[in-house]
Amino acid sequence: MQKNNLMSNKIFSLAILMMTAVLAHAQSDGITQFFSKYETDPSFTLVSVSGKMFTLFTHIEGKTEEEKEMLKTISKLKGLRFLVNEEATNSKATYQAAVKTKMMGFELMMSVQDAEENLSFFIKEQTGVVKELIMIGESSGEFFIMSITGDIDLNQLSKLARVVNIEGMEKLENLKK
Amino acid sequence: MYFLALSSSCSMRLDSSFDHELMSRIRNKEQRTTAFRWTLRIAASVIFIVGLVTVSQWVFKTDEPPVQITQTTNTTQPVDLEVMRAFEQTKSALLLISSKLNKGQEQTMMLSKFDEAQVRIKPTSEQ
Repeated sequence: MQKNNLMSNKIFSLAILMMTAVLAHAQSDGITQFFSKYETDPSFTLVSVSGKMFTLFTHIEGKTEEEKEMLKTISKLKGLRFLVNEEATNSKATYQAAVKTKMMGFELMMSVQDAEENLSFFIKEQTGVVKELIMIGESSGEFFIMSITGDIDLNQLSKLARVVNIEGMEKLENLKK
Repeated sequence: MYFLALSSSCSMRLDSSFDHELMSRIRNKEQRTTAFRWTLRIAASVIFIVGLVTVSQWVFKTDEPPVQITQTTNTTQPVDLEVMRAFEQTKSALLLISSKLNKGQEQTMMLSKFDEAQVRIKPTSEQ
């Protein structure tokens, strides 16, 4: 009888532990849930590049200065996900919902709010290295959320646009194609 | 007086149904405890199975959906095309992040310049 009690106690403790792990995982993956929620929405476009594809990029030879800088940045990345809605009926509300999503381990790095657009950058750091960057933005009926994973060098990343010298929204046009 | 009380207590007899009642109460309690234990065991098993399934899904799932690469037997060109297309999209996405990061940094720089100007103005106004 005592043996049975001990066994059932063990099973119960194990079950509680498992449930805690599952709940913790569910909380940490708030932004993944956000992606899952909208990826099936036909008004959203999802671009997802896996780690495998990033390894294939290493075979590309950079010809121009821009491409070389790009490959240097890409070499340390492991994944990219981009979700965009170009004709969002209520982009501000979607933006607010995305920003308020629980993201365990992330901290707000920068937030820009002006008449034209709203932008928020969240980062996840591990031993002083940025491991994930999430950019959430909204601008004139357009909503986008982007997540990049890997070893992210923010200085290298901000250098890219200076090398190419272009405005970000122009680049969105390429994504539409 | 003492002996009277002693003799009356000696004459006290238990009811014939006492044993039966006591045993039935004990059995009832045991039954309730057993039922509760079984409910607990079943609940624990259900949580255990649900947890096991969720954890296994979590462990064995891939982080991102794999990118479809069309492979044909003729040439390797389609693979290269897919890679180049993915590269172009990654490039565009990274440039977008980069330009937005710069925008934020510019705003921060403007603020720091404003702070610097304030620091410079303060000593001169104090004089």
